[in-house]
Amino acid sequence: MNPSLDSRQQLLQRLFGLRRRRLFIELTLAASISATFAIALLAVVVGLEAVFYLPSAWRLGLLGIIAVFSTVLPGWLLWRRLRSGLSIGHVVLDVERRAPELAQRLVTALELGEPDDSTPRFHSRQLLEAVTGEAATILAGLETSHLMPADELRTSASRLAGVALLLFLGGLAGGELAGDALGRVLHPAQDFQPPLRTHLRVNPTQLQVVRGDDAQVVVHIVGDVPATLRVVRQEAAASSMEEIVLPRDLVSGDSVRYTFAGVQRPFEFHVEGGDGHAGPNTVTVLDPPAVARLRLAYEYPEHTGLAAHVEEEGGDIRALAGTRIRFDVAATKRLSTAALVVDDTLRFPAQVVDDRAHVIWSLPTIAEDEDALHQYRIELVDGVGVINRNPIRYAVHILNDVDPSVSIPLPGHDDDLPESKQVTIEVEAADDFGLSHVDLVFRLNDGPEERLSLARDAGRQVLVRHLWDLSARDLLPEDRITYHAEVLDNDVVTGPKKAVSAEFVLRFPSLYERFGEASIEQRQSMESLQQLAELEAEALETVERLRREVLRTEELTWEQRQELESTLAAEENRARQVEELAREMTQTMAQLEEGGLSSSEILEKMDEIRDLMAAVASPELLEALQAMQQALEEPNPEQLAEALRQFVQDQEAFQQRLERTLSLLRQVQAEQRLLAAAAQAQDLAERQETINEALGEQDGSRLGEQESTLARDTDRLQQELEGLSDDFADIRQQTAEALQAAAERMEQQDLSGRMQSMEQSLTSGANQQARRQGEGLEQDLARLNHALNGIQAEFDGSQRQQMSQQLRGAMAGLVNLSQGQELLQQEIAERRGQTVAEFASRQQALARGVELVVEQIAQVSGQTLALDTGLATTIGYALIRMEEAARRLGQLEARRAAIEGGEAVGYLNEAVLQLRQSIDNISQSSTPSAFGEAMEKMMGLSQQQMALNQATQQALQDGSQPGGQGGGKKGLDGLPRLAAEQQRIYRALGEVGKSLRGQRSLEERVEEIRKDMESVLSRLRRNAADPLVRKGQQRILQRMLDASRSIRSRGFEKRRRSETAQQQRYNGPGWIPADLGQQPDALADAMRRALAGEYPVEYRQLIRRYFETVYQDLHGGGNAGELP
Amino acid sequence: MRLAGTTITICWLLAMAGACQLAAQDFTIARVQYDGGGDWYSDPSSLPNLLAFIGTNTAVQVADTEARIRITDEELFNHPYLYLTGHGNITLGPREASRLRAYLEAGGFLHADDNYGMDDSFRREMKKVFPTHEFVEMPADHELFHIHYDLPQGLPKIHEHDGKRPQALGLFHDKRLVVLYTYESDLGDGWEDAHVHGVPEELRQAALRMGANIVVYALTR
Repeated sequence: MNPSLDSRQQLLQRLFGLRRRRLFIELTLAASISATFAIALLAVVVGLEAVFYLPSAWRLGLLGIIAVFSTVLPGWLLWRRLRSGLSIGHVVLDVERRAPELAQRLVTALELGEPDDSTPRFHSRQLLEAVTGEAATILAGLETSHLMPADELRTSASRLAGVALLLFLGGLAGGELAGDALGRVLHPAQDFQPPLRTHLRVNPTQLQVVRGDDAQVVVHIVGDVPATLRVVRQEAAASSMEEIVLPRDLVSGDSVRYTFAGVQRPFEFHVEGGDGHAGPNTVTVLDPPAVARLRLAYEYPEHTGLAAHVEEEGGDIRALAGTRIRFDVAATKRLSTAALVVDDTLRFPAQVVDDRAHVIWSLPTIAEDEDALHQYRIELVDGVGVINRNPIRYAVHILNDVDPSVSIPLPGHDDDLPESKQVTIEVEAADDFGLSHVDLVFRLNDGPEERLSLARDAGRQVLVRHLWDLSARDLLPEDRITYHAEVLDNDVVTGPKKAVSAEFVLRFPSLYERFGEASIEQRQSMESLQQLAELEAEALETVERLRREVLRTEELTWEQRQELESTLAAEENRARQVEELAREMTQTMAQLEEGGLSSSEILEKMDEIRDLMAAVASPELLEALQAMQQALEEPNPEQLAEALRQFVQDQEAFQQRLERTLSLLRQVQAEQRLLAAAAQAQDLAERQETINEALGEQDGSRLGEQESTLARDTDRLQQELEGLSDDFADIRQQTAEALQAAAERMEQQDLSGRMQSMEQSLTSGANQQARRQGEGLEQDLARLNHALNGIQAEFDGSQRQQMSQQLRGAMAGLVNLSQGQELLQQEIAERRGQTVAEFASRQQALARGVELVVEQIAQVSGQTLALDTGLATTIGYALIRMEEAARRLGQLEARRAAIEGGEAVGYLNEAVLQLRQSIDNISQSSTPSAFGEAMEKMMGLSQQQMALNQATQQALQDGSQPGGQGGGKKGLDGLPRLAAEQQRIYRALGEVGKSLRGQRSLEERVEEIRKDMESVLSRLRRNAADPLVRKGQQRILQRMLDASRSIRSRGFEKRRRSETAQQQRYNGPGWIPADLGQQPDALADAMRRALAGEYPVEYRQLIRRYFETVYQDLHGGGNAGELP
Repeated sequence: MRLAGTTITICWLLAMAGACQLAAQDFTIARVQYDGGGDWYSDPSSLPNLLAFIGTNTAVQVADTEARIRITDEELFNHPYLYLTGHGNITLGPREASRLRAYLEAGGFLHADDNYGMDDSFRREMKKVFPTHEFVEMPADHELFHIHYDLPQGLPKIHEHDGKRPQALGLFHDKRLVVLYTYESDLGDGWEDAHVHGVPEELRQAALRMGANIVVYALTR
């Protein structure tokens, strides 16, 4: 092989490689430059487009220019650089220029080394080979990049990159504008509208509003701000359009806010302004949810007892705190949520199902200072979130359970405890929903509070009447019980509330205080009565004077008539006052009865006096008053005179009754005071005894206080005795002296002083000394009590004796008069001795004698009530007959006079018997001691009867022993002895019966027992040993015990203690009488028949009066009712 | 209920008896305040209790409290039903006797309840009112014992006094019961608060039922 050929080949290969590189570089460079130009020009065109919004032709032209320019210029440059061709020679020369070490070698190698044999060679082959080899070697050692550098290409690429970067940055800076412009440039054939100057955009474009609400939109303006904007609105249903031009001043800035007010229907609208336009936009209308129906279900707190109820109408709430209310809401559309909103602050979410919702709210309790008024509304939200508009605000009035109230209407004031220590308390309480407790809270003096339950669960209103029995407490005079009532209501919501009544005090007064009060009232009654009696006397004189004046002149002057009318009015007034006094006396009697300060006898006397007083203003007097008033209106002087006469008579009777009442009252009151003094002495002695017994066991200071009170009451008793002594001076001197002596004895004994000394001993703890003092005082007080009882008994006895003597004198007088009358009768009948005139004179004398006796009896009647009630009537009849007999004798009617006289004798004898009865009544009237004695006797006899019953029972058993002949006989043998014993009890019971005379029911009881005894006695005497005897004796015993209890229950306590009945069946008759107990009333029928005719009023009155008189005679005198 | 249809009758009768104010004034029992010394005011809690019982258990609209009246009071004829009780003496003056008779004849009714001790005087005074009339004992099958509550045993005996059997005695006028006199029964004690007399609840109920029957009978017959 030829080495030079290899080198040449290598060299050429290398050079060809370098030429390809150069071509690549040049082409790439040209492309880079072209791209650079194209991009730069495009940027310019885009910029122009962005600014000028070039027409399509322009854009095409410019793009063509860019295309041409970016093609031609690189081509021209490429052409210019490559126009010499890319021959190997040029490459060699370029290489040798860059690699000087190849200087000429490479050219030489290429030019000379051409293997063309046709051409002469003028050089050495070797040399050529060497040069070629050397050039190949050098060239091989050189870097291609050195031989053919790409610096220009890098520079051009950098330039291109720089332009591209700038273009990118410009695009970013231009934003949408640049982008749009680029897009339009890249679509040169397409026509693009030039951009608007005013761009309008509405926000939101689709709007939903609630019907009736405002719809507000914002129109954003880009570009030129037009002077006005036009809003075009078209409702779907309407064909017309509505244009609204917004005034210039609204259009300012970049946006305009526009409001469609009160949208009712959906519509479309668009906005125009300048060359801008936005729309169509839509406004749709929504209906908000609403409450179609509201139903409130109330559940009240259990303690109220109110039934649950439902309200369909309205929604206002007025209910008690704690009430549970369920709100059931029916909405107009489907709901998503609902809530109860209270006071716009509290929300209670409701449970929702479709268009229904319900929520439960318990009304809260409210503080006193808190506003009880609230409001609520129902909030509804539909499925699209629309809330109900303007919901109704309902009122909520929360009522708290009202505090209960309590009062004590009875007694309703501070009061004294009665002797029974029982007081009726009325507690009146109320609450709006119920009371759980009604208690009486009290304390004794300063002691601890105690509580007495009066009622539980008592309802809403209660009036508890409670008999408060304090007798079990060891109360002492002047002890105070402070009490009030407390109630709790049944409120379980806020807790029970309490109410407390006013506080009252019950004071346990001393006996003296009780008597003092009653005594004052009695004295006032007496003074009033005395005053009335004096006034009555004056009135009587006045009327008598006027009567005589009428008789004399047959008429009255106007002044006299006035005087008479005034007197009549005063008379009527006095009658009423007497009745009022009688009522007051009833109250005083009740006080005395409560305090045990009077005896049964005195109480009965007072009772009768009260009845007397009630009868003082008799119906006759009142009728006379009426008649008198009528007569005054009549011009008839005779009628007036007759009325005056009748009135004077009734007035005299009135006065007599008044005076008798007064006299009796004085007498009884004195007796009563004496009795009360004895009771007080006994009370003092008992209290002293109580203190003595408590010595050493109770607190000394407390006992000292009691002793001090005792001393004060003892002083009062002493004063009372002195006063009583003065009062008795007018009644009975001996009694007055005895009372004075008792008072002086008290003073001498210095009872109150010693009591005060004992009080000091008690207070200082000197119990031994106090005990000695107490014992002495107790004895002295007991003696005082005994002495006063003695004085009282002695006075009582002497009074009876005195009255009995007076009545015996009267009786003797009546007997004499009766005998005288009888004698006169005989003489008149026989017509012996005297003339008729003389008989008449004697008859009149006898009548005067009877009048004297009447005066004597009247004197006694002022002291006792034991006179037989028929005595006055009987003597009155006797007197009338005797006067009639005298009148007949004066008229020479001896025969008729004898008849009258005979009747007079009969009446006189009857009066004698009645007087005897009255004397017996006085001597045997039941005094307190007699009652006590009777009771003791009855109890003793009961014991004896019990023993007798047992003995009889034993005897009957012995008698019935079978086979026990001896024993049986022994039992029967004892029957006469038992009969004798029964006989003795029978007689003793008779004595007891006598001591109870005047007590009719007790007498009857004793009499019934005696009859039973007679029956038993009869059987015992006949040795009739049978069960009837035993039963009879048991009945006797039972009745005796009953009678004992009955005696004891008389006197102070009229109300008998009764017991719950055992089962006792009603045993009524099988049928009712056919006439139903109605008997024909013949008299009434007769009167009706008599009045059936048409008679004048006066005649009808006469008829009626006649029948009434007959009627009253038939049915119990003046007490019977009037005829119907 | 037999009473269900009688309310109108009651109203009419009350109106006839002068209680025309029925609409504004409920029925009440008027306690008779009499003279003579007897405690006309006894058993104070009895009538309020009875009224409450009647109000609860019958159709009669009742007041809470009793009325108190004298026979001579003007408003006597405003009360269709009188109640008289006590332990002691009763007296009626001629005018009172006459007025009471007029009242009873005009349609009024009187229930007298012997509280022990008023028997003699009450019978005596009623003789003044109706001299020719006699009390007759009511049989146990009388409507009085069955009109509202069925009381087959007749008049209950509430309190023991003299071991006598209870008696319901009637005074008729023109074949109408005008006075009922319950003797030896003491209904009033049974109507009183339980603690007052310690009457067992069973007996109290019996007394109250009898009281209700009397009122219903008086108002409807």
